[in-house]
Amino acid sequence: MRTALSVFFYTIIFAFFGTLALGFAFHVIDIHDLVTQLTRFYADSYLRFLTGLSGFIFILLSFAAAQTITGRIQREKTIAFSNPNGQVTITLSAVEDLVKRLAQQMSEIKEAKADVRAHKKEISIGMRVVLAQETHIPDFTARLQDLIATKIQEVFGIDEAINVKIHVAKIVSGTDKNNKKRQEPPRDEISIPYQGIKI
Amino acid sequence: MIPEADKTELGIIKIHNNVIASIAYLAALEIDGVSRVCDDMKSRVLRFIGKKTQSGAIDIRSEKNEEISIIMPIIVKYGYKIPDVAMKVQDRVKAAVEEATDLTIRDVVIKIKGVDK
Repeated sequence: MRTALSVFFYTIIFAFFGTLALGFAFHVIDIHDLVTQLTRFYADSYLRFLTGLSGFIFILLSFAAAQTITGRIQREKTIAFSNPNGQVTITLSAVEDLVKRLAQQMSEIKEAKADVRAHKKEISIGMRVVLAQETHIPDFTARLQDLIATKIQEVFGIDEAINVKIHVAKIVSGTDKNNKKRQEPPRDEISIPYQGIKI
Repeated sequence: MIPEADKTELGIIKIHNNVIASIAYLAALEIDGVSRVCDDMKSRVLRFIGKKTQSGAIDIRSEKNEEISIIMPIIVKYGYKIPDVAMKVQDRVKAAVEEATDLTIRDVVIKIKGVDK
């Protein structure tokens, strides 16, 4: 019902502006009348107040409508199962969160992005990773695929097949900028020459 | 939001949906593995202006036969088994709300919105 109202709201708005534009283009709207009306609205304080109020209400309505529509889109992207006390739905972004956290634990992965899609019979996970230079890619990717599939089945209690696609986007050297920063000693430990000498 | 009403000899007791949501919110946080209950736009705005809310984005739906559905969006801590956490939350929330309000809970729908540290 709310989604239908939201769609109706946007339809009315777009139809109104479309009609206005067409009327303007085909000279259906008299420019002098339009200017007179606009001047009247601009000059009268009560009409200005009404215009401002309706503008504010329209902004609120547009936010509510957008939230309803996007909420519906988000609702569709879930994995669901039922318990005796009710249903449990897991959003695909939660699965993505878990995959990212799993990836962060592995020292070979420098950067990881995950995209999860739910199909009728399987869940497909697309991973884009940046690996460290010394990593043996075939062994590591096989291990990663296995780990992700088993961990997701275990954590989410999913029986569906899990298809993990890994795309190695980049290989970076083990001593990248971040590591260099980590290797720098803390400032307190830097020895300053002649620090203890008193003159 | 439809307040729940119960007749006694002295009058009517009404329990607002926000009260049920607050009980559910606090009960859910008692469970190990629940990181937090998600916020909605309203609770974010209230928090922004300095008002504390303890209902988050919990949605309470009342049926005509006075049965209630509770819809809870939560974030689960990393390392916990989600079906177990969800089941514990459902049991705890159902028990807490039924104990505190004497209302009948039809179902507790858990929406896992994310995994947190």
